[in-house]
Amino acid sequence: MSEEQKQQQLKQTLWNIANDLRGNMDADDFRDYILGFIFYKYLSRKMKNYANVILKPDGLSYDTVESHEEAEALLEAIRFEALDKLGYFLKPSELFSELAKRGNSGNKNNFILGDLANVLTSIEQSTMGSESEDDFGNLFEDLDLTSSKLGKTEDAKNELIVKVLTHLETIDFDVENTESDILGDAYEYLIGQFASGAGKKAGEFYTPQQVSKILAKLVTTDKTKLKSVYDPTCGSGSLLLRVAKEVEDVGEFFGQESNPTTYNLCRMNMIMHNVHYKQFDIYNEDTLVNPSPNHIDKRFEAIVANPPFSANWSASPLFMSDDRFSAYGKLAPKSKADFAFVQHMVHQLDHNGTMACVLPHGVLFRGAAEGHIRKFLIEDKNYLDAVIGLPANIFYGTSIPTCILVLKKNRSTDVTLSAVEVLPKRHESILFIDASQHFEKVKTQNVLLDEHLDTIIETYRDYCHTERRRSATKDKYSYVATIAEVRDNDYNLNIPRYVDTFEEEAPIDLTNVAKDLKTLETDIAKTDATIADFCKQLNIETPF
Amino acid sequence: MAIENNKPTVIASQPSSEPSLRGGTTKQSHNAKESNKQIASSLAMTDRKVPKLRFKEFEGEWDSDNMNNITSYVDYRGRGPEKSDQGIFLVTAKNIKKGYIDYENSKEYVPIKNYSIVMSKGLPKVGDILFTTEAPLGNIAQVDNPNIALAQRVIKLRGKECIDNTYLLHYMLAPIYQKLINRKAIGTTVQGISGKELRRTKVSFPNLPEQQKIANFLTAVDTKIQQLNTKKEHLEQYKKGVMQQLFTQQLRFKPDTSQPSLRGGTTKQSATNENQTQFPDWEEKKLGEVCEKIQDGNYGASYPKADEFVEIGIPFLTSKALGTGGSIISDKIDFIPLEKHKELKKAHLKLNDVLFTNRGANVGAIAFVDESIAHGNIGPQLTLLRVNQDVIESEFLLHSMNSFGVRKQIASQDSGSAMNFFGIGATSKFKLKIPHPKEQQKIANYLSAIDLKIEAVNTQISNTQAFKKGLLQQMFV
Repeated sequence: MSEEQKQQQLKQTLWNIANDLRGNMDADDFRDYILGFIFYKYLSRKMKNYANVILKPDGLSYDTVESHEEAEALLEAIRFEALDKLGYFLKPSELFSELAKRGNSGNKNNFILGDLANVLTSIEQSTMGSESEDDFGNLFEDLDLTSSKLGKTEDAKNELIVKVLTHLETIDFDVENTESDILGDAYEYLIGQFASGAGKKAGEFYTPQQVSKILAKLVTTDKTKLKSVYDPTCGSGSLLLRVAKEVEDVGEFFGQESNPTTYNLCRMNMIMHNVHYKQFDIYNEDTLVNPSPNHIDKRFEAIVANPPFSANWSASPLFMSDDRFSAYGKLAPKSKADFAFVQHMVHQLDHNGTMACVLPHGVLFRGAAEGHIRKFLIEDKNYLDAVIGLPANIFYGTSIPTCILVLKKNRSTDVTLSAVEVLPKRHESILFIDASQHFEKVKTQNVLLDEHLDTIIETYRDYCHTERRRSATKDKYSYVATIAEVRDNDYNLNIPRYVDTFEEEAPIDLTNVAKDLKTLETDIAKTDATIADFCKQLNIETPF
Repeated sequence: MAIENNKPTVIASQPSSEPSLRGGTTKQSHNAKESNKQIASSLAMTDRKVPKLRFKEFEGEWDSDNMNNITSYVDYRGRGPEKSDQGIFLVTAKNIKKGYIDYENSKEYVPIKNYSIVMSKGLPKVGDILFTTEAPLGNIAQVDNPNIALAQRVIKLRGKECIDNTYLLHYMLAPIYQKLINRKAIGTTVQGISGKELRRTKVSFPNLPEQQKIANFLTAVDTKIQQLNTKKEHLEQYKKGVMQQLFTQQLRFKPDTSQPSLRGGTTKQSATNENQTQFPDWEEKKLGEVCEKIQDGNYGASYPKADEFVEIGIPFLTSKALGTGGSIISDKIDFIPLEKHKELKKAHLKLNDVLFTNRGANVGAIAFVDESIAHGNIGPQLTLLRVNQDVIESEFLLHSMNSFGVRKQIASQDSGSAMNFFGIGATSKFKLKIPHPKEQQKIANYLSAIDLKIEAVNTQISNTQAFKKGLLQQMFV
């Protein structure tokens, strides 16, 4: 079976379990359980494999170590190693497989809720005082085993949980195969499935894979390694992980997410994708109000984001003294935080870095404070590198048209220009791409195919290329505008002003039209004669 | 009058034939009153079936019978057939208009292999009548191409020996039958008629030769209307073609060589141009450079409230008063009292101003301020462009604003968002190409003449339609 088939099968199996078992439960509620248990199973497998590696020289295995005469000393040693290497610790009796076995032994439901709750707490607590504490603390808080949503009686709750564990136990997670991301991707697929199924509120939308891919490819242009990647509204972390796929190596992952449940998912998602706990730092707070104290002084090489569209924020005058916003002289309006996120990201962007951000179309042309901020970014800072218009209706749950802004602090990378084509220098220009008409309609949703995505990236990379063998200006698709042109348009970035997609009129053959008109006159004369004849017979006035 | 109406035969209205067409309704109401009287007096008279307007060679009363008895009737209602991208064109109620089949609307097809199953109730023939039972109710057309499939809210009627299909088409479109249909319709949001009711509707008809003669006449009038519409389309194409070539200077006027200019202002210029056989090159200018005033209407608190509009007063134009083709829709003009006009002083119109719609669905629509509205006022959706007469002719500006070059600029700057509008600043930046004043004059006169011609055809169309309506009222009973 190919990797892809394996992945497809795993996704399907997991989704089927999720769907079959949830019964009458809300998809959103069930998500926290199924994702939590998958994660628990993953941790168990990793723990067991790791312990077995340690125990191998002694001819022991983790299954039997508890019956060893020096069990306690051995476990303590393993615990010490595991906390450093994995960031957490699980006793053999706490492993997923053990609990699943216990719950299902003798073909009847044995009560394991209590044990399970203890195990989950113990995973979280195992990290106390260690370096991984922030990454594991309260990780399972959404997995509430006492919730009445699971069932009315304790037995009913237990029955459901045992069923989920038993089903999951039958799946081979193939954790040993660390090269592939099969499990992590399947996990993410589930997150996406749940997101597209659930009603969305407050402008939060799960970023479609293809959009994530575009952002990731944009910020990794000309790079094979990244020191750091950051997402100030990271959600379940899919964007961060997507960026990692586009380069050989990412040093560190940083993210911030205000929703605690999503924040927990994000940490799980990171670990499921084999990101070492020392390599990531996710913070749970509102990015605009309380940016992570660990992040605020850092500068990141790649920043990606899909912030909530036109969210409300306080726009309190206090922000005018905040380093992130003070230079601009104006704050983003209260009802549209879009530019506040952009400003935050610009603040965190390293001098050699690139940021790409999905925003509603309105940021391109809305006036007042937003116009002012746009002007500042373009004229005073010259950070705006590219504007990419995406098709409407590509997000789950909203049909609004969106765009991507690409910003760079250092845009003076032009060295040589081809002698034949006189093109504006990079730092004197902005690339506009109109991809709004390039999509495939799938039922009610518009979808970007790989070919559409490739054209966007190809065009952007043409623009970035020092020699620019091909011009990034493509007929009815993209245009390299000079800053002067943008200035001429009062910093209005609405894409049709720059990319001409207006259909030319078909030229009209005047000779033919004139001939037709003359022929028509003869025909009309004939009709007139006929009508006149009838009118005469009726003895009424002819109307012509 | 009563006698005239009672006459069972001959010429319906000898001396007063013309007024009977124009004043069709008054006559009819007389007629109705008369028939009411007759019902009261004599039952036998109610069956009198003679049309008011009739070809003189025919006489005698018309027959009347149920639709069911005079036509073969096929009901294509029911579940919609499976559709495909190509195959046989599927005619549904959406395609049937009053008098014709619209093949451009709702292009649906049934696969060829399914055709016989879909049409198992019977294939259509040229001449068959199609009737829509609901959504919309009472549209009627005649089959002009047998290679179609029928479905969804469509009834097919084919006249028996005593009925000419084309006669039936016109009869069913006439007010007498349309009223009957509407009376028998049921439903609230969607009006519809049941098959049973439809079959029971009464149709009056004379003998076949008279039917055919009526049908031929009305078809000739339809042909005329159609030809006029084609003429209008051709003329519009012609204007578009002329504009394409004029504004790209592929087609150019030459200066008149003989006459010296009559206008004092241009004598200097003509002196320099005297020996030229060509007008100078066009110059690109911004709208702001060729206008002495660009101003949109007042908005905010002073904008007239609904109860401040009056019946008679100062014309107050909003975007709804501008038609797409550069016309002013006179019944969409509001009126405000003089005091209000004085209060809203930002944009008082003057003769020869050009109006520009600066926002909304009709953004870019242009109109000319003539005497009828020259003392008027405008709302904030409109911007007045007052030209600097030394540089540009007002009428030339009007046509320029409709040229492809300017329309393209408008389209490229329209963000399509509800908030978007062209403020005075943005409007001032439109780029225009400006020829010599004399060339402007020639272009403007030429295009305005074509506009007049189109307008004349338009009037002809509506007059002919009124004529047809009069005929439908009077030629059937």
